[in-house]
Amino acid sequence: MDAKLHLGYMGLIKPEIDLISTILRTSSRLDNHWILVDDGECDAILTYSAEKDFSPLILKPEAPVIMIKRRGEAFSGHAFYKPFRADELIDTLILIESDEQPSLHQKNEAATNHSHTIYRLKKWPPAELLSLHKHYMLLAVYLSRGTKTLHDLTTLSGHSEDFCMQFLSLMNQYHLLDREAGRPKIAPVHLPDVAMPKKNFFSLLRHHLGLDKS
Amino acid sequence: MNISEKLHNKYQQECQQLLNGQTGILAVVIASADGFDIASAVTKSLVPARIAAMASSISAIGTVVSQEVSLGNSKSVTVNTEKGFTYITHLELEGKSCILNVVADDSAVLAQIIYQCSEIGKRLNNT
Amino acid sequence: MNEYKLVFTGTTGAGKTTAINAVSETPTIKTDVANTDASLDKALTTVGLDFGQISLTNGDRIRLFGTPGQTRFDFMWKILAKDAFGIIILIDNSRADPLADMDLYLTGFLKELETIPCVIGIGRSEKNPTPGIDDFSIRLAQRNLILPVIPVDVRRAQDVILLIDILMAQTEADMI
Repeated sequence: MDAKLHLGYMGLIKPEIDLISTILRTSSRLDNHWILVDDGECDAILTYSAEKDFSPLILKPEAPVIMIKRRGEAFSGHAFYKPFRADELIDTLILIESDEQPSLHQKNEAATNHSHTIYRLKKWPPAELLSLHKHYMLLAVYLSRGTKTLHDLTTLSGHSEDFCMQFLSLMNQYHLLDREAGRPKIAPVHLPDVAMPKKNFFSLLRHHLGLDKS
Repeated sequence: MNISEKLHNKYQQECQQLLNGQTGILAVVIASADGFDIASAVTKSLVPARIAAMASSISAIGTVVSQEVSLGNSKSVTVNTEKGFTYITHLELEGKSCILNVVADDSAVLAQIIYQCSEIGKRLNNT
Repeated sequence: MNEYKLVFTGTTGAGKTTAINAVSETPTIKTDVANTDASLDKALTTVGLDFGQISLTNGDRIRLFGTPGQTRFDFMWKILAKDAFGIIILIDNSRADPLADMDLYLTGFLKELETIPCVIGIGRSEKNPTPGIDDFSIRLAQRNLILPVIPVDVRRAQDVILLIDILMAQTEADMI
């Protein structure tokens, strides 16, 4: 495909614009088919509100509106839910693109097994990235202590694989991550016995300091 | 701590006299309360600046301990070691709180060092 | 009953004593004496240590130590950091060269940082935005260190608590 598809946006703040711009630019699945625009003709539009008038953007006929919604809100059309997950936007844009040109685009589902990949931060992330979600800093802290797998992050943080993967994708998009293939762990991760007293201590200290580790 | 050359020479002289006059002394350092060396006489490879800083810390911790146990102000701290001792005592110079630190091996006699330090304090306070 | 140790270090005036005061259950014990260094705009300076304490419901205690800031007291840094479960480096961003200040403590605690978790708290950054947080991250990365760097105001207990929470998270990450 020679001509790029245009994703228009309205009402986004700068960190969100940067994030989406990076997703479009770096996703191997999207393969640079999309660019982000704030005026002119667009093949889809990303917006917080269901306006009829999107000027200065001009929606092509049949071009879909992708609504930005909070996770948990019911919505029947195309949606991009906050907190953002890169793969959801990518899936949506691929779907839109294949609706427009079904014979040209093939989904490039890599046979990547994320669970054994080893990740390491290259440097502490900028504040504007960590501020995109209140739990990103904690994940960055875990990742700053040597190499970690996706499973390590979910074990430490208590968050889902999807959430942790979203964070890792973001770090990767900003070139903050080293990755290498790892070997599958033979046994599940168990906390060594010597670590249990320390975990109890941390639990009591967090309670004393009024920290809620939810 | 700014002192005149005349005073500095006097302090230096006291340090040297104590070092030469007593058996076993390895270093004599007069330091400000915040750990800068003001005057000193040392042997071997002892570094007056380091001794001054350490003496300041030890002296301050002595002060905290004495206040904690309500036994009045700390006057001195002695660290006895396998091969000697270090004696740290308070000194007032030109109205400012300072520290006199003596490092000695086991041939020195602590009681004499304590006495000599006291005499130095009297002499310097009378200048 | 277990005893744990937490160390606050950083330049004079960065807020070590204030940070300990923010979380200590006892008034901070200080070893402040008159400052004779004209380059420091402070009447008093720490020459030994600051000491505070937190007691937990099971009898465990955390001893909070503040180190002297000046490098001539770096022997105290090593004594106080021994067996600590975390080191908090506080930087005053209003000083002439905060990055060089951070370098000083990273060098001073180099051995300890091989195993002990550490977080950098940047103070006075609202009124002094440069160097920025990312500048500190870049400097750390140049030294092969990936340490959390966050802006703080240690007069706020919540900011000090966040620093401690980060240290705990680092320790938990080390357990895996």
